[in-house]
Parts: sequence; C-alpha cells; structure tokens
Amino acid sequence: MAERGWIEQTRVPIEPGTGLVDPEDIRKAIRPDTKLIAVTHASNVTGTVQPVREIGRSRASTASRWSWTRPIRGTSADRRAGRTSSTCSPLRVTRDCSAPAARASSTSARHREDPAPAQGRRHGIGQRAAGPARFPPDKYEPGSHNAIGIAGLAAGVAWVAEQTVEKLYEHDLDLVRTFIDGVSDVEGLIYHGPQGVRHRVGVFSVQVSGYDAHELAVILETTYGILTRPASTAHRLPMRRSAPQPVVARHV
Amino acid sequence: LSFGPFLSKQDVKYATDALAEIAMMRHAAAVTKR
Repeated sequence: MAERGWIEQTRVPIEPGTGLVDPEDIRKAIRPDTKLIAVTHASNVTGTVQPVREIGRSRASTASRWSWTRPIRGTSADRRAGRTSSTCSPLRVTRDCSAPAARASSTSARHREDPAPAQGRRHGIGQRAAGPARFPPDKYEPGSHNAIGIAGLAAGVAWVAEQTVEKLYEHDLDLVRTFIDGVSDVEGLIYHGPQGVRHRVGVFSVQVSGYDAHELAVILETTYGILTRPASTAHRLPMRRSAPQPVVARHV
Repeated sequence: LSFGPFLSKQDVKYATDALAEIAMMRHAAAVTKR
C-alpha cells in the first residue's frame, strides 16, 4: 500500500541483540493522523515477545487502531502469545469458510477433467483462486480443506480453556528455562533473540558454528530424530535490517 | 525449534543434549584440524 502511495508508514527500529522494540520509539513515531500500529507480538523466528501492553498504554496509541500479528497454526509462539493478549477476541468461525473443493466434487466436474499443471500438482499450488478446484486430487475431495482446520481449532480452543492459559504458560516457561539451561555456555552454539526467559516464547533459532541451517537440520533429523524448520531465516534475524519491524501507518 | 504444551522437560533436555553434542563434536574436530 505504501508503494502504491495509499499510505505512509514508519518502520520503527528494533534492538539488534534481542529484536525488541522500545515502546517509546513507537510513541515518537505516532502522528496525529496515524491510523494503525502493527506489531508482531511473538516472533516465530526468534521467540521475541514485543511489549504490546506497554505500547498499548501509550496515550498517543489509544487514538489509533493497532494490531499485532500472531501465527495461526497452533505454534507455541501463538499459544504463548495468548498470555498477554487478553483483549484478543476468540476467532469466530462461520460457514463462509467453505473451500472451493466442496463445490469441486460435483459430478459434472468428472467429465471435464483438466490435467494438473506440471508444477504444484501434489500440493494444490495454483488452486488457491476462488471457484471450484479444477484438477485432482482436490476436485474429488469431499468437503472443505478448511473443515479440518476449523475442527482442529475448535478442539484446540476447548483444550486450552480446560487447561487454563496460566497453567500452559507455566509449563512453557519451564520448557524455555530447560532449553536455555541446556544450551548456555556450549562452545560454538548460540541462540538468537532475548537471552533469558524474559520477553520470549518457546521458539528458538539456533546456530552451531561450522554448520549452516540445513546441515544442522539434517543431523538433528537423521541422528537424533528431531525435526526442525531449517528455513534460511538466519539472514532475517533481528540484527539484520529485513527483520519484521513494527510499523506505524497513516493514510495519505 | 519450538515447544508446545505436549512436550515434557525430558523432551527439551533431549534436544539440548543433541545440540550440545553436535556443537562439541564440531568444535573438537575444528581444534584437531588446527
């Protein structure tokens, strides 16, 4: 939107070592015509938890809408983020979430089978556009892909409510502490983000000297049976300028 | 790595032991090479 000239935005710098933003810097970036303050609450890369409560308390920010992004697939970052975002409303799930696949199971589609494109056949890439899925396997799958996610979300929310957020937080805190104790002072091993249990969730990006992310992931999987996500996010960690930064946006 | 509520402290300890072992073996190999 900024590129199209619809808005102006200010990217607020973060503290390089931790990825934390100073609420005061956010306050300074707010102008009378500010409409939105967007902050990633819990980073699913470094585990950094931004001080959203302090940012929200800023008098200037109360005049603006503001939001924080959260992972939505049940990552620990999402669950832990819930501990301080008590003002978040539960998601409302409606039947409007029906997916094209539901409509694609009509019998008429059977007679007009399009070959799947060479690329993206297995993962349904290219079927994201609105309308019926055009090629297998999606076109013959009954119901909606979203239905699985919706059912999972409902079960997850019920489970969290039963366990209580406080209890889950205590357990996660215990795990974070265990992890930090286990990797601290190991030669050649570092983890990014806040160095301690404060301002973080149970998501860790680690580096072992001498290995790139993919090499480390292969060793962890093949030797220890530990699955990780070796996304090449190392170059996007907070100390680099392309890390997600809080944005203060205004209409032009 | 990320933790969910279904993991135990033993699970996390297993992961940190693995990481420490990898790092120490790599470090030892580097020292030997020198």
